[in-house]
Amino acid sequence: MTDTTTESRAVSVVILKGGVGKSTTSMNLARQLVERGRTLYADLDPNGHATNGLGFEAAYNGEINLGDVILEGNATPHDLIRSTDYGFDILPSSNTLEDVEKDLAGAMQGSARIKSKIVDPLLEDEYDFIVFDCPAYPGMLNNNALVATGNVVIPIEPGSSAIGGYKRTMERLIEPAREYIDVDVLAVVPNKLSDRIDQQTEDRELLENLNTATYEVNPGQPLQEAIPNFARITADEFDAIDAGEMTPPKPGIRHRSALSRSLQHNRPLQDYDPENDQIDFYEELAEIVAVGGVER
Amino acid sequence: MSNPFDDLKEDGADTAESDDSIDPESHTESKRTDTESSGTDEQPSVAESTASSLPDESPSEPPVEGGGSDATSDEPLSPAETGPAFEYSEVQQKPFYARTETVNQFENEIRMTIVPTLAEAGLLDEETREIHDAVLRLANEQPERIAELVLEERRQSGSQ
Repeated sequence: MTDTTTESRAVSVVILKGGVGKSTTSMNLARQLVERGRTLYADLDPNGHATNGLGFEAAYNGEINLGDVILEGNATPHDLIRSTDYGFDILPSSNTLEDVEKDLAGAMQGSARIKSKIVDPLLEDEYDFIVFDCPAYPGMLNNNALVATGNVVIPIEPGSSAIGGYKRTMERLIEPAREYIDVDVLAVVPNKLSDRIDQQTEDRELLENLNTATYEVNPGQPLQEAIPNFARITADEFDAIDAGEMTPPKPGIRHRSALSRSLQHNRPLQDYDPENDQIDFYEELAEIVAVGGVER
Repeated sequence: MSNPFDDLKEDGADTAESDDSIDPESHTESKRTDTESSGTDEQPSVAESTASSLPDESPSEPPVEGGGSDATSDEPLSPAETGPAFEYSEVQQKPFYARTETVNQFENEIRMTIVPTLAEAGLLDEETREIHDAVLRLANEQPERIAELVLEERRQSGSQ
């Protein structure tokens, strides 16, 4: 499951729920991957928050869209891709992406278009890493991202609705896809943590559930093994915390006002607040993607 | 429910679990039993005639074929044959307060996407109540998304 060598890799940041931090996670992941290789950030979310946030309104409202590259038309990925000020390139979302979604549904091998037209030609040759920011609802764009990458990072936040989103993602997207392709869940990443974990908070509930989960996230791999080290707290450690024998750690990724402000200022955290204590966590996430899984 | 990735079926390489529906023999056989057991709808026989042309061809068939056949090979009746999933007596009328443009767009979606997609799966007798019920079930699945849409619309009207 876990490779020890770094190789070029495409990954989908996906969960079938809105507002969990997909764009924040995927953009900051892309930013940290820049330190390791040539990186493309692909915004497949029709709402285009990240595309517009990074200042590509013109591309979002432009003439050429993803459909011209992966369906009819003779556009190439290079007609869409722009470079950003942060080291990575962007494949922008567009205001017509929902139409592309519909057209994909009627296309032959509609789920494999992004793989054949974008990822296969670009990965290795032009980019070492491609990060897909996926829609919050099931559909052909999500299917395409999954088929094109075969690797997934799932962000999750405290609260039952996010856990429901995780289950939906596994049941409706990843498990059906596994009938046809290998899908490797590289990491499940807690987000927006803010509470203490030495009391029964939603943060504690989420972290304890993830870290003690024995059900499989990948064939033969229990979910707890896909929790990054920055969020890893073992059952023994929880016992020690409850017995007052251990100072409760501050697992990531935590809510930071700089994180939300950095998005409003259209920048990755690294460039908005280089001293921020959460950057190390995105760096670890980049390491996970680079080596193909969590290493303890 | 068919697998949303069934359009990959013709690829054939990594499809361990879908082998049965690609195999021409078991494919047509299961189709035939289906039609015999119900035999009223005309759609299955159309599907069958397409299916029985399979053995002469390579397994690269349109994705539509895969989607429909998967459901029929597992279930005694395909969605196309069962009739509506619930009776009219089970439904309750509730008014919706939506803008005309939204309603019109939705009706377009029904015509352009939903009904054709159902037809591709062999389902030709869809009822309005089934679609409306599905709309609400979709909303029940993603209530947070509903809140987001309301917020987005307010932000947009506020910025104009």
